[in-house]
Amino acid sequence: MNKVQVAVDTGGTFSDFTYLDGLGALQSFKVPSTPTDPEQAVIQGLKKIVEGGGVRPELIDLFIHGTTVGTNTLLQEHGSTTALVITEGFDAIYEVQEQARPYGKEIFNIRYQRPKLLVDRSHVVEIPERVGSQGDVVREIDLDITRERLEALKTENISGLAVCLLFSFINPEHERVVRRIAEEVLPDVQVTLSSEICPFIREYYRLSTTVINAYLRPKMDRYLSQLDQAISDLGVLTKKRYVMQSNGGVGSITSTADRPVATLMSGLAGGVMASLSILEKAGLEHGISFDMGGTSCDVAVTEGRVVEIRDRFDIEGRHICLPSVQVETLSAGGGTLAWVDDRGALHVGPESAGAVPGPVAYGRGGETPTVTDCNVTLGYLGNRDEVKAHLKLDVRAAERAIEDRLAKPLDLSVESAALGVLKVVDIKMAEAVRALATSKGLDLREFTLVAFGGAGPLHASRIMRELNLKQVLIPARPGVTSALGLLQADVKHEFINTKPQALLQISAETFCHVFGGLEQDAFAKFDEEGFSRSSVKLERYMDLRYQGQGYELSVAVDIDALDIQQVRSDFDELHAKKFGHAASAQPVEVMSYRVIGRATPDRDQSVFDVLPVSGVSGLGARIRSGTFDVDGSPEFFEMEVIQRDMMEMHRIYEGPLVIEQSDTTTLVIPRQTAELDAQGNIMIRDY
Amino acid sequence: MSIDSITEEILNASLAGVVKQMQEALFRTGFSTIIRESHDASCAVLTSTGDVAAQHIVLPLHLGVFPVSIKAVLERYPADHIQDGDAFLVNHPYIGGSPHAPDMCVVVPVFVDKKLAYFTASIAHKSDIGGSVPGSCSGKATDIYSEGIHFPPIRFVQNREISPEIEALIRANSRSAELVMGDIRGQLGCGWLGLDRIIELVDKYGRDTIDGAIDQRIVGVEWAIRNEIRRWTDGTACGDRLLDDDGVRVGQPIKIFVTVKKDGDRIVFDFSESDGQAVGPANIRPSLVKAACAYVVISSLGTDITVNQGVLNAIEIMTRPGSILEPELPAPMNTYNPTVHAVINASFDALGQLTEMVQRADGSDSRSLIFGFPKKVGQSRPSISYEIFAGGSGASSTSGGLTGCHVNQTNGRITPIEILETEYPLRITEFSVLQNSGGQGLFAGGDAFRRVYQSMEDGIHLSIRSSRHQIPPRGVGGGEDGRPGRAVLYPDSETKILSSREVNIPLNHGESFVLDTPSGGGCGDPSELSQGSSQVA
Repeated sequence: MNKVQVAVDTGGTFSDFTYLDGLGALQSFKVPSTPTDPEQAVIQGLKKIVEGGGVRPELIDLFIHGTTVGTNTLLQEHGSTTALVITEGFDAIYEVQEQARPYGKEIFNIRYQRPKLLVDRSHVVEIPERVGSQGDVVREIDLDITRERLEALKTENISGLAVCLLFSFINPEHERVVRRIAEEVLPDVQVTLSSEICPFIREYYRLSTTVINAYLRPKMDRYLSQLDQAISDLGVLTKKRYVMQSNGGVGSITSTADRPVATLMSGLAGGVMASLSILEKAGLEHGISFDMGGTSCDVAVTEGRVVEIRDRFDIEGRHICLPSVQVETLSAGGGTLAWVDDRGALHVGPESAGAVPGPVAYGRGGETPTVTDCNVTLGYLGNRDEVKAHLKLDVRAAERAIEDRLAKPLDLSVESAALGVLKVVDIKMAEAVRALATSKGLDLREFTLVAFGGAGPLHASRIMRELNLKQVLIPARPGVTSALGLLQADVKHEFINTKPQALLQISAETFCHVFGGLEQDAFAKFDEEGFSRSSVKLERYMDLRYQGQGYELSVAVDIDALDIQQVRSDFDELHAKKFGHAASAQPVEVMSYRVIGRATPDRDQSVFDVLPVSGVSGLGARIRSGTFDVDGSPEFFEMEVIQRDMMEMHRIYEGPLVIEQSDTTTLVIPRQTAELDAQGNIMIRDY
Repeated sequence: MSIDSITEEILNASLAGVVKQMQEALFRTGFSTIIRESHDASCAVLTSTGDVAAQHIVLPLHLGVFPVSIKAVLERYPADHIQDGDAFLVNHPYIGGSPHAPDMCVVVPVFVDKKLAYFTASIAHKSDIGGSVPGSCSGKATDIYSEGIHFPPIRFVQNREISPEIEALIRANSRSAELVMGDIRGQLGCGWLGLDRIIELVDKYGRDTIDGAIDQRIVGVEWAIRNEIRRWTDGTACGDRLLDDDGVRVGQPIKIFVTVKKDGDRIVFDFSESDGQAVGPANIRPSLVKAACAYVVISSLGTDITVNQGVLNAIEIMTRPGSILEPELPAPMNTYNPTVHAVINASFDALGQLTEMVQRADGSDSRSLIFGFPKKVGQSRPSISYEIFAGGSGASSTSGGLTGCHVNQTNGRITPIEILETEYPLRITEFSVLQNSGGQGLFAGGDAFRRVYQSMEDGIHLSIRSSRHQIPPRGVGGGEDGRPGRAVLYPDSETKILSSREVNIPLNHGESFVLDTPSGGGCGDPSELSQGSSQVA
């Protein structure tokens, strides 16, 4: 018997469970999510594996979880009552924020409002202290006043305390003093220090991140400890229990409970990491991860098998400065609405029909045509056998809605109107990919579109043609790809020391001392999680910039001793690659030193090694008529509808073609071919 | 050529994508932090006659600047004199449309079948183009000749090569030549990227189809705006605002006055009764006035509309030659933002009388604070810190104003204290909210903030270009006015109140400077606030 690996990806409606059973087969199922009591769905699913699936709990060796508990708590503003401790005289940092509105339509919104402050003005505590830019103490912290002001919070029912003092990223001592006093005065309050959660320069972003963490922590802590206990209660023995982090790595359940702010992109990271593993397995270098669902579509570009990590992002106007995979989310999905305004102009999105009422074809009361209705009308989406049971598509209703609401007002045929809507939504997604590629200076012709999610494989073939990409790859299990990505992830921790200095002034001693210290921290952290020194891979980076620039680039320094010339030329080269130019005469400054540690939980089998079974050709094929755009006009085709598990390996199937499987439908358009490769991926290419 | 609605939507989504892509390229390749981090730059695609076909809104004023700059190019270089591979530079506020000379416009012509078919263009603020002070914007300037080098439309690129003579000329006129040339190259690169994308679209759809889609969308946007305007009450309404002064004639307020005439689907913003042109740099050109009015109209619609030439076509403006809004050469204009804020605020007031549009009190305009530091041994040039500040924003009839938030056309981010102190010999000793400073009202105005600077070295100089230090942001509908701003030198010793626009004030080691921004105006009668129910801003 092999060891069992379990992944749970909690979404808004469903939680996806995927596990590698003791016989080396990959199983997956869905359980409805339980948003009010999120651990219930996870426990229910685990029970199903143990009791229904006959897996002995002690054989479960690895448990990885993608969670939206933190994200939802933040979006719904359901966190706990939080207080904030700041340097006296600096309360404007929190309130003024960036001082700006986001780009786009908010600039024209005369009623623009920021998201509500998570800490009430009356819960902001100012304490007498000040650290200077060199880490020097400009004003000693006043212990009596600090104690007095924290005591005043006793009656305020506070459960989270955020501490963010100026320059604490260089000298954290005052923040630690505050914690010591807080632990005495407010023993039930969980304290988050900015110098620990994100020791970066730029006070507002650090403060915002610290506040969000403190705000989420009591809830996340409760959730994860209940989950941890419930897993043990089921008889599961393994301590390898992890949660996906925004940075694409996993962290232990216990360390995540203290750092919920690091999970805000947990859900999206799984998909990107899966796409990366799939590309690697297929021997491909460059890819675009394309996850399209019911209301939105998440796009990420991975170049040379590296996922772009950004240092800062925002969620609905709240700022977080922690490393996160770079994903763009667009309001384009199966439920995206299409309508004609009173001037006769067509609009597609961004509004969505959501789960309720949903597309017209679902017969749940939807009246406005959606992208899904267009796919149904054109013959791309049919009644799959599996779907029939609980959801029968009403093709006629979809056609009627398109005819009445789009075709007639636009004076077009039903087919032309449906094709037009799809083309508009495809162009919008393609333009988002182009902008992403341009912002990194990439040429897309060598890129493979890895398409998954419920609707991704239905749109991928047209987007590939629009962008002139190399090919499309539809992974074996598009519906649970994100969950598979979880099982593939490494444990990843990042350690930072911010120490601004001119590059030329750095001494060999400083270099060794700083990296040595960070590496000690890293080994200690991994040791806590049960990884020996030899199993941990460490990478060193320096965050550098030209003097006068506002932002830094991370440059890998794979050296034991400082070589300033080498670091300098690597920086110039990277700068030229990313931004199109370098300034070799301009002095360079280091802002911080960074150590990234990775360790792979030992697994004796990769989920991407598990191949789906290849079938016998022709079996189960049906004929359906479909309408496609050929040189700008609609043309009817009789096309084959085949089942994916009946596809023959390496046979070339010609489009137009519909490939059905239980969790998605893949569309191959005219003048394209599809082929099932040895890894069970469908590869679509133009010819 | 009539284009079906689907093709129109596809092509407009594509053009929006082209502009977005140009914008990403410019942000990525811009050399200076002004482009790379402050994002003080924007891009557009225009028709062969200079109408805006698509623009990505980063800076709303640029909507009015692009067409004027392109039309200036066409006036100087008729279409049959323009070659494929050319590019043009223009930054002249009087001949082109630049708000002030540091905003340089780079224009790339796009040829289809050897005919001039489109332009791609970008505008980006330059760090320094010469003139009497570093940064080229002296709040005490009295003519444009002291505001740096001005280019009327010039062909500075042929066969995709920058003219070495012109490059030498630019380099000789800037305190930061590397940054300026680096940014100009970034602008050219993004113009060429847009050109390539447009050619791809032409190959796919044909020029006639694209032109048809652009025309149709421009007409459609104008139609949609006029359709909304038609619903507003016919009639005439006035609005006015006072500026503290022009920086030179200190203490002499300047009046912006607008009469809005609305009849059917026609709307005219008449500014003829505004004051005469300013001696100091508070002047703006009519192209900016029109962009400001377009901003007001788009904001009043409350819907998401495509921003193209149709917006400009839907409205009319009138200005008086020789006035602050249509000054004559060489009246200076580097401190244009407070005047634009006044134009927008006065216009909102007037429009508010004609539509159901929510009322909105004034915000705090915007201001810049510049510190110049003495040159150190080993440094090639003296260093400068440049910060932009908002103040409290105004309340509306549905919500309170915000603490320290930009309104109207300005949107610069605040500079982190930790960055300032790390890079410059400055210490910030206070950055606090002036709590409850917003104008009272049913909804209170946004609070102001205080920033206190202490010099850690001798020989530092500060310059400020602020506004609303005399005349507070106005409340609306019975709401109280906000509190005016204040600039105070040496608060610890011989306290001295500065005027809102000052140049090169010395600050030695240990000396302090205090900036209190203005707070926002309130909205609605504060006495309507029932006891016990607190409306928190």
